[in-house]
Amino acid sequence: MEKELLQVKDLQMVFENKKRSFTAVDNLSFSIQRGKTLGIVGESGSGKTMASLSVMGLLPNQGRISGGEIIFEGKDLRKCSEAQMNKIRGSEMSMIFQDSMMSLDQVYTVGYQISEAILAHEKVSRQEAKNRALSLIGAVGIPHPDRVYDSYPFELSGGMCQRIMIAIALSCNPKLLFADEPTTALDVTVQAQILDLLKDMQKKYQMGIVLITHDLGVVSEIADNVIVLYAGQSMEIGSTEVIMHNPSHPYTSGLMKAIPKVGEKKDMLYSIDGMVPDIRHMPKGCRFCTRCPLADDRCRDEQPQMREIEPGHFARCHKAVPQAKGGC
Amino acid sequence: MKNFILRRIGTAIVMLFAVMTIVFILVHMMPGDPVLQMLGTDTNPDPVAVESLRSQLGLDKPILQQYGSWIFGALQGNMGQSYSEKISVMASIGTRLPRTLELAFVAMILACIIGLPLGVLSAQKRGKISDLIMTTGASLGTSIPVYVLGYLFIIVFSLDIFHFGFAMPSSGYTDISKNAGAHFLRLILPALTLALGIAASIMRMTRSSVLEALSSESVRALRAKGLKEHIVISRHVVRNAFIPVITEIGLQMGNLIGGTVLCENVFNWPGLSTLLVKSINARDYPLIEGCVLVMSAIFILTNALVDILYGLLDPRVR
Amino acid sequence: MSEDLLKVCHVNKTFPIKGGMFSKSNGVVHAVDDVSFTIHKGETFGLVGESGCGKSTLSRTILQLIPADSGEVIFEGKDLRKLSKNDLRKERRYMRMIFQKPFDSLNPRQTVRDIIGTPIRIHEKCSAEEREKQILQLMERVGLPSAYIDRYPHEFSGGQRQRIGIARALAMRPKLIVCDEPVSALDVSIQAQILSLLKALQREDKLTYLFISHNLSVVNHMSDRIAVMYLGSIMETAEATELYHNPLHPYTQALLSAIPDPSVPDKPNRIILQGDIPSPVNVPQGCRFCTRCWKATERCSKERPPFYHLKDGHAVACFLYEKEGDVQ
Repeated sequence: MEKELLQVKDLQMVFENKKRSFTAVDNLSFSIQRGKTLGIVGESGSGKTMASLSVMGLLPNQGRISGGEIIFEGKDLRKCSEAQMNKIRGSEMSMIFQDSMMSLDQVYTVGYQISEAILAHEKVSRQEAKNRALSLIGAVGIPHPDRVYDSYPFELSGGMCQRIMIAIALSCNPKLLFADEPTTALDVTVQAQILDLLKDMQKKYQMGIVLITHDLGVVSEIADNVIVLYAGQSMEIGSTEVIMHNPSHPYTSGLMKAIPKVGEKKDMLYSIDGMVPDIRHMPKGCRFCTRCPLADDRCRDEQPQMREIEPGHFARCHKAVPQAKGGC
Repeated sequence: MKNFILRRIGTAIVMLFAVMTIVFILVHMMPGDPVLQMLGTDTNPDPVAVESLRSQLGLDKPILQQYGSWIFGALQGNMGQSYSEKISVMASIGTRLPRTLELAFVAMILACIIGLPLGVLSAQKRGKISDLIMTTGASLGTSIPVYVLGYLFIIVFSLDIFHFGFAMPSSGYTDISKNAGAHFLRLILPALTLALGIAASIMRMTRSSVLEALSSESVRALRAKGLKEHIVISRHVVRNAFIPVITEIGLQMGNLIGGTVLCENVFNWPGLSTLLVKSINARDYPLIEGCVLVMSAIFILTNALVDILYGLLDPRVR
Repeated sequence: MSEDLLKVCHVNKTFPIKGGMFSKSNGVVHAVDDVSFTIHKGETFGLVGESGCGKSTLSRTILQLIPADSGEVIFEGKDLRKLSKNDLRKERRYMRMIFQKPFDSLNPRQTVRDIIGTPIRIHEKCSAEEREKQILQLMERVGLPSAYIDRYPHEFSGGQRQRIGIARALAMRPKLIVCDEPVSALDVSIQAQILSLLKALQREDKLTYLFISHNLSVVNHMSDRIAVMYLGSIMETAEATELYHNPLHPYTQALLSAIPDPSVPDKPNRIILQGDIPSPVNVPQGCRFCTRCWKATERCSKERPPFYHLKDGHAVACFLYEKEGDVQ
């Protein structure tokens, strides 16, 4: 068995203020190997961003991890001090975010920001850091690296800023990359370029990539395995092939049907009724029961557990059965 | 960058001309006749004396000509003779201006030393007791009027009611060339009085600006790079957060130049503001115009410098 | 043949770039460059393009929210640019708009009643009870519970706010609704609900839509005919199915090829465009797309291709089709 790069077991993450606490991530478990891509798919409120921020140790002020284990290359990250986490962040584990323009500091040049990332982790001279930054800018597909080095983020387009973010994230050859909605703010032609770039970089550095998105299309492009989240819980886990073509969980199949596909002229799109339940009023049973076309009394009373439907394919649903090839 | 600086200076010059014109108009619209004031009589003035003095002062010429000759003269540094002080306006202002400038600058520096670090600290400790204490202190600082604070300081430090064992001088002015020690001793209380009010507003501005910067996405991305927290704060947050604070400081500087009048009054500090009040009471046209012009020029210049500094800090503005 | 509801002829709009008090204009942004198209009554006309292509500016120019520099906008036979202020105001009730950001387009200090009721109050003389009845009717049609009539926008979810926006647009029984990225800010499952709602309302009220989006799949699903826009100009117009099966303009081909499709993994012959979208300030002299087009010739960089009309309403602005189509 391949050694796991990252193993998350039963992760619990809560938001707390003085009055009460809400669980944003509920008993989430997943793992990822080197050179592979895991897609975490979910809509707003699913907990996907909070899960990755938990692993990176970048939770906002009111959030904290209340349970579970995060094992990165054999180390339990929850037991690491802030200083140790700072060493890991940016060098062994990196993250890129959705809005690249907002994530870069507008008053420093992009070249400086890349060099800064290198200098924070490695004892090299300023000149050497600059040289590495220049070659990184070239490696992410930006022409005229020396000109771009001296540019400010607001002078660059969204696509270029995202490439710079990738350059920063890769500057110290990380083993794991979290990509939180990296292409959502970009146009579709630029999105294709960025996804290609990520695939190339993964091959070159043998990185593990965790791709967080709501876009099933993007996941199908580059992910090997997929985990589908809903209201803080995992609903289905499996290889991309299985999830895209034979999803067992009603939420996943609902999502697949709700996406308009070019070339298919359907009159009415399938839509999932209702909305994600309020974090304060979660149903007693399955979280999806308020919107599920297959829900019955058992679903409303009893929370289903994650069970293995076929080898490597898991679903949290009382009714899930392996689907015959051909979709449901 | 050069273009930006040139443009800013150009704007400043245009504003200066506009101010000079407005000052001229306002002063000449004031009620009260300077000639009568100078002659010292309200009733039954001697018409011949009035006429001769009027033409001597050039007040009988058409208004546009008066305006033109004033502008011309001012550009060359000659703002005429003061009616009440019998010396040239330039000389009169020249003695007083450095004292007000000194007071204003020292007050501003003190305000920054107090306000900026406290602002950053209270933003970092947001919600905790220390933050509450600091923000309450800031509210008090902006609410207490200068003259109240000034007299309070005099009572506490000069009248020595708490028996610290020494007494600060409460008023007056000693020229620095005569006795530097005494000079600075007399500067501390008035400068501190002015500084506290401004420090309070600087602290509040800094605090909200830093809070905003801390919760921005770029800080999250910086932490994701693995940068140590103190570098994130000092190198990135501070520089971004101080940009609006610089504007605030520039505006306050302008307020200071004109607003030292109460402070100068309380502490008997013979500066420009006191001169202006005197000259208004005396209907001393040239002196009034001169004072207002100099104050406006300083204000405009300070703002231009602040804008240029802004451009240096924030590349987007260029 | 159905009549034309809206005819846009050679509309231009540029924005000058000012440099500050003492500097001259630094150039112009060619937001909308010689755009012409026709929308038939009762159809959905899709306008697709990436960011910066000018589609939002175009929509606002059509509705006379921004004055165009030149050209004609003929709504039901009347040239809107030539109407008096009063006459234009009367026409406005028939042309409505739904916006992208549900939260930003609603006044946070108004209740649902005010938001939907204001257009009624402005354009119709009816009693308060009559108006209340109409508001409740509209809320029911868009799927909002009538109990919410006194709530404020911040108390609703994104999808619900968009429904409020739709109700507001319907309040005046319009003939044309411009939908400017109405579902881009919504989750996939909610997106499907809103799109289905829009289609249902169109059938019931015989509405005409101008549907603008950067998402080709969504546009394709909703529209009968589609125009593809790039850097201020229209590159191709065709019926939706025809555009998908037979894209003629290279840009359209690249767009279609870039769409990640979950049902088709590893698309063969993916066209990845090189470079970034040029700035709308420095527009190429010839064809707008020549800097990124892999089929560009020297002629393309010097001369702007006219719109060649081929059969079945398929028109394309590209020299490749010079022989097959006529210029009208």
